[in-house]
Amino acid sequence: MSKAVKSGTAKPGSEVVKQEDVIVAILIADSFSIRFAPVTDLKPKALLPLVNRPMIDYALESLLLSGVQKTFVYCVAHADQIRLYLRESKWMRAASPMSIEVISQSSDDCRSLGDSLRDIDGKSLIRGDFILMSADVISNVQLIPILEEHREKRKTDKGIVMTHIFKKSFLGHRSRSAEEELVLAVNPTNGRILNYQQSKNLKKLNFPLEMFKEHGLVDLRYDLVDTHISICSPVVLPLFSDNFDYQTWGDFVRGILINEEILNNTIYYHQLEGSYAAHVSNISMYDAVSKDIIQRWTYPLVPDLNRSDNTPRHTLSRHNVYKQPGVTLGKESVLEMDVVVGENSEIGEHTYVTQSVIGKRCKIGNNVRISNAYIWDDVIIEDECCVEVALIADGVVLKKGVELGHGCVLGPGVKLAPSTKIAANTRLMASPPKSENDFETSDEEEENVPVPVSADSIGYVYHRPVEEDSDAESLVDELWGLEIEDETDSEEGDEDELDNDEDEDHEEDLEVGDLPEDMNARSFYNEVLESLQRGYEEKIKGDNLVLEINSSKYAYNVTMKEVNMLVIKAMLSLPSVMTKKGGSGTNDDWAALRPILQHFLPVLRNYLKNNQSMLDSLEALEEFGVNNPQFAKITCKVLHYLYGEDVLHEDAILEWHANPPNDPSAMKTIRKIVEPFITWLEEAEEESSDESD
Amino acid sequence: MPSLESEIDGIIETFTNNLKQRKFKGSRDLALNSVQLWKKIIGQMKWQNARELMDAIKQIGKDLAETSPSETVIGNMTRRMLKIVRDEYAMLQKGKQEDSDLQESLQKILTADEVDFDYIENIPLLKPAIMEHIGEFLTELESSEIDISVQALEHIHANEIIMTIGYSKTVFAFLKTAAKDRAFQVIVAECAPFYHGHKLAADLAEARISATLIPDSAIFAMMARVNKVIIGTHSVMANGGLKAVCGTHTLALAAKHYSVPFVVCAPMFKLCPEYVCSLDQDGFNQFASPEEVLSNDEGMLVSRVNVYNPIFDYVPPELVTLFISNTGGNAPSYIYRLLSELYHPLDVLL
Repeated sequence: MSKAVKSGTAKPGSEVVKQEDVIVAILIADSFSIRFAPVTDLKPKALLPLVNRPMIDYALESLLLSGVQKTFVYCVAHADQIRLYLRESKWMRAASPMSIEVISQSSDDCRSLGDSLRDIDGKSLIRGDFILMSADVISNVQLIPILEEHREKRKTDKGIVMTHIFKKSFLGHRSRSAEEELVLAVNPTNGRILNYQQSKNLKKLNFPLEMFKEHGLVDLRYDLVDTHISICSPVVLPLFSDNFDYQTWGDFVRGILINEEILNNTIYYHQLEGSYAAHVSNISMYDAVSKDIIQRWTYPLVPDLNRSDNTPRHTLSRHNVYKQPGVTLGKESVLEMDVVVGENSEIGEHTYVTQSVIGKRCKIGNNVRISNAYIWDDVIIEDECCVEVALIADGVVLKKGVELGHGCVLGPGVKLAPSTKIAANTRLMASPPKSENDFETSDEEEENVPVPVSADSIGYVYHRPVEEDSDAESLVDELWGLEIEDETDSEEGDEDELDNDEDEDHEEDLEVGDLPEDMNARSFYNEVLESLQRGYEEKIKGDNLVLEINSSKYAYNVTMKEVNMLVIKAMLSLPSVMTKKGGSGTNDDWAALRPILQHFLPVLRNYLKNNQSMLDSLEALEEFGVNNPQFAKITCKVLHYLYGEDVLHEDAILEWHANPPNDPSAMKTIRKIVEPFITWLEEAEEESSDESD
Repeated sequence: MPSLESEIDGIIETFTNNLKQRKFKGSRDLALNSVQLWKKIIGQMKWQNARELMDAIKQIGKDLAETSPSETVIGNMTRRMLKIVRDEYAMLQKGKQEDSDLQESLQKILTADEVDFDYIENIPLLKPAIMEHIGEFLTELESSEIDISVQALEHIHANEIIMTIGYSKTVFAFLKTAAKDRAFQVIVAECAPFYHGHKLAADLAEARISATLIPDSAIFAMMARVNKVIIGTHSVMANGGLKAVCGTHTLALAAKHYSVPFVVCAPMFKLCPEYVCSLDQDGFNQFASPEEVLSNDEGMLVSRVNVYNPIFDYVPPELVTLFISNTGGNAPSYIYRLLSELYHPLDVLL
């Protein structure tokens, strides 16, 4: 690979590098969330400064350092700004060894990771394995060895679709995002992910029993953090396209794991050793990652080694104090530790700054106290202000004596009058909230009559849209402020973006013992019946039907065994459903059923791949026969036909026959009916074994 | 067809990228690669006279140095290029053969009124002359390791106990050469947290040299029985001080305490005309990720403790007994003299 890098970078214009050798990455420059609102109202998240550098720079830099040669930047919100930024930056220069292509999509068409991947699939840009990363990921991981590992695994496992990268972080680690707590069941011997659950707010987790039965060794991991970097096989994109339910990465993983037996797809995990990766998912993570950068865990992505185009390097001095040129420090001002000060900023006398980032051209007055704050560019903070645990966006003005409570977020352009006091966890923005877009009830609106927080201030309290669970959301903000004092609070849990999914998960795990009578299986059965009927009438291809059934399976969370049984039952009942009358108990039934079975042979072959699934289907056949006595007569014919078409194997049939039936009444009826067929089978086997002797 | 300028940009970008991705193994490799880069740039660039060329070199050199500020070798090579251009220009201008300019006497340097050229004349012969000179310089670089190691027998004697720290290719070659004729023992300090010493100990054992690996904390305890300390260095500062791997200062102080000779193997290209201006590590040291010291997994600890992982130590020149360079042995007090031969005084500040 490294050879390819060298030769590929030598001449910028030449496209001689073979397509399959090019290492491709997709960078999703949108997080599809409003965690950073109102700051992200005017500026995309990817361009928010993180330690005085736009976030997307870190992601691109880490891709470049890994030796990635082609990156597709997929932007949705404020795509024009990202495009403009990249065009001006060093990344788009002809000499850059990594070529970048920006793809933008309007936010109406693309509301999730799933949508964007479907869009990329539609454009068919990707042919080989690729790296999927979010633009708000900061990492110093060498991705190529992991990509190689992924390719190596494919030699033993053809169904590998993804290797997802996790980082180990024990409880209490600041870069553990409380929102993204997860529990992962993995097979440590081969690195396969067996189960994935988001564990926030959950007191209890359920795992399917089969998982432990199938795998000799299962590790349940609670110490892993999702890095939002994955190595994907090209098949990932069509998988997203085939299933519109896949919105997030979590959906995808769950879907793949549930459908594992059908599609034979597997997901692997990679645990980072000795390198850093974190995802800026919310403001408390922004805080944690900023601190990690300042304390150099992200080396070489640190302020004194990286310079963006038009900003000079930071110089590093003791106690992780970084300064760009042109910084003015007043008399007796103190930059205690972990401080970054941007170009041409002025800090007044007796001002105390610790564990904070101050952007470019800021003016900080005298006797100001700043700790754990992130202050972006062109901010003016006048004398005697107190800013602790806050995020202050571009161009904010704090007049004399303003005090901010912990966890405040001030949007761009906010101006606060002298001596204003802002309560903890308040988010302010410069323009009054728009009311015309509000779908909320009128009384809600009246409460929100736009009033600035104090006279002569420009600053309106920002309320999160009510569709989101706002109570829980505010907990996250609180958390940011509290984290420093008491870390145990992080276990309080917080907002849940995927509430519905969560509940579904819960249910699924409860029904380990399969109950065909339950609601889900019932609805699934109806849906399958419908699909099959339509499929037969419209002569739809078997593959498409399989897809349809699989998506219903996913939608109703039924187990594989149930799928096998219900599909068989649905097929058998199809003639009576279509003719709207029961079977006549004669050979006419078989005449009606035969073409149907013939049409669905590809479907059957898809599901009945191994011994277990065949046994399931035989069980279903038996149950169906018991419940519909008039059908019992033709059971033997069905069996013979399926055997003849090689859908059911001899071994499975004999095994089924050897085991006593679940329902004793079946003994008399069905078993009796199939007796001649079994005898015939056994004889045939003996004969063949005789011959082979 | 890409324009000439963008082609040069491409070459530079590739180089800086390789630098960032740590593709260069050791400082000699870096020096060789940067000289080759200069050779390409000077060969491809369009320039009318030496002044133009020198300005361009300075400009590009500044940019390169910014990419990795702690790699002094890059700056050194830039200065060497400027010196080569100046020398060749002067030679062609004067029209006389000044072979081995290095032997210029101190007297001459101080008294001779330096004819300062303006370097604006267009001399067609200049380019081939420069290219040839760079070629010679490349050969010198390539052979620097061997040139140093052939002096090994002058410094290592039978049954001596040598101490070293970390992994230096030059030191390894030096010891290996001596081992051909003499039997001696080597004590290797492991050089935590990077543990390059482990590799050296293994390599020495492979070369059938008796090697002992010790933790850094045992340096002082072991020093009493050591006859000589031989180390490599990242660079040699203008005053003869060292910028060497972290832990070297401890080693040097222990050697001083027991009056053990402290020998530094440093090829000429590591000589850097800069001083350590303050005790603050600003601009001199480099801090790596604390990962090697404390794993990032350790939840509570990482969030509450500050961890530092500096790469370099500064060793003052008083602690160094001898430098062995590819041109011979020199005392630290002689470094300034070597520097004045290597670099032009006007190029010290790029």
